[in-house]
Amino acid sequence: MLDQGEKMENPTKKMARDREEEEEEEEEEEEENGGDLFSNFPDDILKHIISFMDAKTLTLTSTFSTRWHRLYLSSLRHLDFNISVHADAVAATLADLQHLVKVGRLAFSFRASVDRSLPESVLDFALSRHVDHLTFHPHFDETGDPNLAGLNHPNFWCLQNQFLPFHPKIYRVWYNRLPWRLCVCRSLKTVRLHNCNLCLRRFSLPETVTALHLEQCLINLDDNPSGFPYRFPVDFSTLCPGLEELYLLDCNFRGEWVEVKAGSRVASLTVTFDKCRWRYNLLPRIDISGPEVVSFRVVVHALHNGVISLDLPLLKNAVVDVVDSLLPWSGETYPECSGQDERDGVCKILCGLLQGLGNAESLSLSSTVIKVFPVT
Amino acid sequence: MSITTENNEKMITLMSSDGEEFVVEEAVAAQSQTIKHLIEDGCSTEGSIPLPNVTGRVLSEVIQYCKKHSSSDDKEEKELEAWDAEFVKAADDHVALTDLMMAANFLDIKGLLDLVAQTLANMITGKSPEEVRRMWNIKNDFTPEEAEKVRKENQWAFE
Repeated sequence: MLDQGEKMENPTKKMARDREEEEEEEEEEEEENGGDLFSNFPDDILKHIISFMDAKTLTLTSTFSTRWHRLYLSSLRHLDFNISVHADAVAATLADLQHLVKVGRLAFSFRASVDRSLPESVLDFALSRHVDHLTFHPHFDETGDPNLAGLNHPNFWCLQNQFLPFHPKIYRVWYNRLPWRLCVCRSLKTVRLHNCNLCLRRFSLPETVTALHLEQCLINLDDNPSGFPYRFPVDFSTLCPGLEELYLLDCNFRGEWVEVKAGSRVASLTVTFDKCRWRYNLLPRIDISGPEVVSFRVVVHALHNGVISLDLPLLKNAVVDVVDSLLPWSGETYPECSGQDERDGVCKILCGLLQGLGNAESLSLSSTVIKVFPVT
Repeated sequence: MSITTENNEKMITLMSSDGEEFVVEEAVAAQSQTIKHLIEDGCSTEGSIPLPNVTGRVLSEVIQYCKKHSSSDDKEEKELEAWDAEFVKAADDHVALTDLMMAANFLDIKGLLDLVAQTLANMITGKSPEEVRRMWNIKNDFTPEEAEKVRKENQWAFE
């Protein structure tokens, strides 16, 4: 919501404009009358007028004045379907809302075993209604699909795919269809994708998107899921050029040397690895660069081992956290992080991180970070 | 405007803000929920019903609309639609429509409210924000930074 602002208009400019208008046509009468013709209208009437507009005109009204902007925001419909909403109820709701021209936020959580036509139709609905904020969250742990039993985390599942084929049903739906449809929706501002498979060769978002959350996503370089490339560049300045906030939460990059480039407008970057499952707990080599990143947050797991190097020249605030609790999805017990051997790996990661954070104005370390460092 | 009184219907007198009186059938006037409630409350038994927010010019238009629509049952829907279109076209001036909208809101006549709202929405459609601001004298009270931000956020609608 924008603050109430005052616009000082240059008086000579205004007079010049008035004169232009007088020359134009009968508009000068209103200029003399002064007042905004809608100023006497209660908000309800304006909202009623707005309700007859198409999505484009409706969106333009938000730029008229602060009042119209406020009305526009309050007239937007937001739809939240959490996982407990039955598929039939989702379909029925969408059928009821066919007349809707614009959706503000659409969040859709669903069991990945649901008939694929449902997520397709929800996505169609959202994109054809010029959605601003989209959240897409297939759940794998509650699918009830015997083929997916035990594969209750997609990262687990995708690491196993070196030995198991991709599950064809999910593979087809989330791998191919999602990204290219998002890239044509120019109203999108925030995109949150959970548990999705992304192929970077096909993935791009319009530059209108300023915030991207990828949570527990499997990120592949190309369509071939069996290849495991050595160098793995993930350049968000081309994938999503307008980004200002980037969240890479427990994503699994299928490469051995991952180079994350945040893009030239990204000021806020969050990267977490605590729920990722890597073979032998060994992270790939990860290089993170962000020329404009001001605020950076990173979370690693106490049992992980690897190297994370940073290149964040404009960094101001940094937060580093280590998680040493059990992985909630694994169902297996990790040994307590007590011995120095287990600590060595994460110490190596932390040393790399801290070196890269040397130029930060403020650095916040969680107590667990201090705990895992050897006491001398 | 001439008001026929040949029917046996009960007649109601409405008085506009500028003192003009209109005699209409109760069924016509009762399309306005506001007037209907006033009648139910017994305000119409003596003298006229004052409508302090509506001028005579606008009220005559409203009554014209209500008359047409009070006998809508036996009319073809298409014909009525065509009549509605002509009706708003006759008032095809955004200032007149704005007045009509206010009156429809005050008098609480849903059909008219929808009709005028639709017309105003159509008038705004296809115009640039600058044009709309000029027509309705909407003051752009964004700061330049805010204006830039809002425009950027909604860039797709400008394309």
